[in-house]
Amino acid sequence: MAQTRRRFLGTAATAAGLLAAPAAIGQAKPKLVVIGGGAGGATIARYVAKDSDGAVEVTLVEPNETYHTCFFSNLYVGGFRDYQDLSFGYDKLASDYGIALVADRAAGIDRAARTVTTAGGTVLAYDRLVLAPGIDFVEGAVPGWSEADAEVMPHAYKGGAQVRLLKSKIDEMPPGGVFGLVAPPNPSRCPPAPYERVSMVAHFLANRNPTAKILIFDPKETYAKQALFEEGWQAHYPGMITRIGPDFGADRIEVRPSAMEIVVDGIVEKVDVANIIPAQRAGKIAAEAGLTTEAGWVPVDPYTMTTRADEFVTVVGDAAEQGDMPKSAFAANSQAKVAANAIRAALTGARAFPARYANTCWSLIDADDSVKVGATYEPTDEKIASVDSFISQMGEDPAVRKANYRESLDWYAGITADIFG
Amino acid sequence: MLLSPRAAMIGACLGAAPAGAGDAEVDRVLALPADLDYGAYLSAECVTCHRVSGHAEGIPALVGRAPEHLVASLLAYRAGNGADPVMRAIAARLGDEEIAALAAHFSTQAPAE
Repeated sequence: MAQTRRRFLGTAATAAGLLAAPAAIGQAKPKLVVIGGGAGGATIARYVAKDSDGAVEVTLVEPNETYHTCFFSNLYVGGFRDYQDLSFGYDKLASDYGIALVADRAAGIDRAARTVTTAGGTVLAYDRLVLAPGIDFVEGAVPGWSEADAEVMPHAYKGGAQVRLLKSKIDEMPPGGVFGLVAPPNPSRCPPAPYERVSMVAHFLANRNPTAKILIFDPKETYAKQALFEEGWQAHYPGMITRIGPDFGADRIEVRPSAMEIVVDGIVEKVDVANIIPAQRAGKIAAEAGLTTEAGWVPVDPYTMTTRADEFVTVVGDAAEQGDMPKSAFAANSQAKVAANAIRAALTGARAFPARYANTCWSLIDADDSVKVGATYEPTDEKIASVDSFISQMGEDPAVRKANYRESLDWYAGITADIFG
Repeated sequence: MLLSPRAAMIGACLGAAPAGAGDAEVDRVLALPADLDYGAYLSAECVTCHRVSGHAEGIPALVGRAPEHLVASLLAYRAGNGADPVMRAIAARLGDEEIAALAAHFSTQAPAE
């Protein structure tokens, strides 16, 4: 049974790559193994393969054959994208870049032996390992909720089936029903995303179920783009959205999935759809590899994204503890390109260029009303530090917001091509 | 602000591109030796949003763009001109060497699709 879970693809392209690297003939090619085929991992795999012209053997370990982006999934919730528009395969990474795909889950990492063992029992040796596992949820972070309850109260905070489940529940909400969203504490993936999600749910309900209500239970005092969201909600969805903050007990809630209840400060709120987004930590394989701190994230060198604990292991994206960059697909992709350059330099002697990082994040509040925030960053000995930042202004010309939306469409097409080829 | 003839022409091409860089300044950067490897590395930051396919909804494509267009645009953004805060922040940390490398790189690229 384990054998059937394991598939190797792209071996022909890898063999072709050998011909392009005469310098490597007679000696083993250096091996890069990448665990996780998201915005961080797939980008590193692609850039190392593309830029090393076959001099590095690149293997991508990813159990899912199709990747569903978490970024832009709120637009699907709002009815602005189809589900299949969020789906990408890895076939081009194999056929165009010679990356070997291992469609299996990485089950264990032996850092002393420098090997990765998959759930199916395949052992992969590496000279450099990239871990890009994204997030997992902190168990018990929301009392009363565990991942076993995610079919009843979805988190929908990883792309794919959970997002589709949440969308179907919103579609079926009774007239005048209540949508409750439990927001996570910091640090979490994509800080403005819970509030963009509320915006997209509100957009959908305003058209289909206009007497419905939205409740946000938020353990944080403040949140990303708060003034912009509140201004937009007031303008587009007056009276529909209520946020309960920590001053009213939202930092110590309890949920009851079987009764569809969220309890705040002793008051029971009955909801028709609940979206529970718990506190987060690095994907659990990072902890199993002994790379995380007590806080649950992996400290990395700001110049190269190499882990502080192991010079042969790189961690990018949400799982990394790097300083000022938010946990976003944009940031993961940005870090991945710095890391890919550093890995190539280490493995092949390629030129190493200085690290440069950037992030931009667009959030859609209503049709043609998109706001953005972003920054540029540079590495310091201590952390990746923000050097310059910007955010949309309140009361902006609608034409600016519409232009922002059109920009976000190019960004989505651009970054997904950059990740998946 | 008076536009140089070249800046005005570029403004017409790029739509939202800023004006402000003089021809002499553009020529000075264009005359710098262009490091194509460095340009390729730097371009990875651009292609997150500027699509290598050449398609564009709201962010202009850069592939195949004449070097003087890119240099003039980036110099203007670096000087704080242009409405887009993303590009002002990106360009603020580009030196002349980086701008020359980027312009040389993108002028060698054809749309991928």
